[in-house]
Amino acid sequence: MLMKKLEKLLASESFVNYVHRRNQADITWWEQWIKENPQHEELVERATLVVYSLRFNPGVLDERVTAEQWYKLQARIRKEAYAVNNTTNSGRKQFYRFAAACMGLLALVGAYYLFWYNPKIIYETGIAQKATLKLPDDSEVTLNRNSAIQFLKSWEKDTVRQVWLQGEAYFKVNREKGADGGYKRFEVHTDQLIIDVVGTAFSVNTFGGDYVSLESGRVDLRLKGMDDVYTLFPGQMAKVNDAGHIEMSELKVGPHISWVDGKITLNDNSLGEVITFIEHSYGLTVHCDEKDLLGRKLSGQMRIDNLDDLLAVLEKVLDLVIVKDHGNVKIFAIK
Amino acid sequence: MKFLNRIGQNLNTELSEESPMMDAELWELFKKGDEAAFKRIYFRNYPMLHQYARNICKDEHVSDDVIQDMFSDLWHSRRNLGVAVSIKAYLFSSLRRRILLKMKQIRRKQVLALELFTFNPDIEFSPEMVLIREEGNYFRRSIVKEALNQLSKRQKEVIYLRFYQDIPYKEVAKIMGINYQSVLNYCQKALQILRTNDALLRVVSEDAIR
Repeated sequence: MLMKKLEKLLASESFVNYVHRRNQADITWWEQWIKENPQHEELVERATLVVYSLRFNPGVLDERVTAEQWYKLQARIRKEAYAVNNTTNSGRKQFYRFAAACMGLLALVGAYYLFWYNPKIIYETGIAQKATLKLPDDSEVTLNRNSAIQFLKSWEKDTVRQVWLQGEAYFKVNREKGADGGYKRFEVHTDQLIIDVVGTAFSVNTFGGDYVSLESGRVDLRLKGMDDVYTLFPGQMAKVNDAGHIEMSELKVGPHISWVDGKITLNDNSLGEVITFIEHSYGLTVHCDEKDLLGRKLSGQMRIDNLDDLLAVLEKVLDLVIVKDHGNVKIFAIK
Repeated sequence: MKFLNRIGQNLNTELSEESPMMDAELWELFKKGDEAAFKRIYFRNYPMLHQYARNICKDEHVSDDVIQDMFSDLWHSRRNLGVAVSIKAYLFSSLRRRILLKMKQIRRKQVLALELFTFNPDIEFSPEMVLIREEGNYFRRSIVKEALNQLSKRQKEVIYLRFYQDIPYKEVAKIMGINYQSVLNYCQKALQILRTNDALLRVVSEDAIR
């Protein structure tokens, strides 16, 4: 009976604390107890040694292993969280898709009636389409993905050749003489700008702040509703900034996405700009919650005919996790 | 000597917990979806959990996978979690259950054994785990290791959790899914057995004297 009680005592937390000198109260108590019970001295000594032997190496785990596993875990959780959100929303999503299809149909019917009596011609490119077309005066326009251009069927009676552009296009404009002997002006209208040329090659992009870059010749431009005229010379570009003013810069200096020939050439562009480009070219929505990612800069050439390849390249180069799902792309940082 | 020991202890606790945050507080933050809290829980416990998983299951891939599964599920189900008095104990018991389940699944594919119903982790102590003051002395480590490995599975686990992982008896009981009294009994029995091991005592007393 007494032995049993003693065994219990020797396995108690208090005894462990005494052996490892952890708790002053326990140490005092046990020192006192040993003094009072000298007949158990040998047993206590053995017990002390045994508990003393139960000290272990904490086992050093390389911090890198912990961190490495943490990255894996994060990437996995994000992918899973994304999948979970999608499955729960799939019903609502499908409804939206249906609604969008209805709206699209309605818009098409509307457009059809709108332009039935109107001689305006409209060309649109889809999300993975590029088109080169001839204008009524034999000038050439290369229309990038997801862009639209409008012009009148015939320019013969007009003194000004006019086109309306949404999206991105590359123009090669011929000089054309008017009835009065002078050159006919060629005007490109975008949401923000009126671009006025005689005959030249230039490109216009209205995705994310209108900008115009010039290859040869000369371009005059002004903001809609303003009288100030800005003149652009070869190698320069003009951009409408967030405040709504025109900003001029040298083409090679500023960041610039050019897309001719099925590739994009990036020149110190931020990821944000690339995202805007992808969104418009492929008709996708790209989400990126981490704002500091958007500022990362890129240079070089990338092929753009295949979205998956493009995303894979971005993922590699910028060390990101990119999840693609139907019309959505999500970008995460690897932390 | 005693005084020095105590100072050493204090230093250790200070170093390991740079800015102590109560488990309850951290757990609440985590349940609200605070990623920093999650990260903290992860980094604070991962090394020990890794060790524990490896000591139960020898297969590195399996043990790593199980830990990942556990943390991933933990994050997704954080809103439904209860109050955790000790995060460490919670994680250990969760990991223990998962690893045993996984090992059962793996085994079932290979052999159909009756022992599945009484499946307990078999922790094997290695010489490297044993702390000896005279570091290079492999012989002493082996003696201690041998003594520990002679214990029964349950006794080994109690000793491992209480002394190697430094988890109080109460939480050891929760982790192993047995009651407090049983934990004490296993521990008493184990200590009793070790006390009769003369080789162990000799080695330890030599080490303690130095």
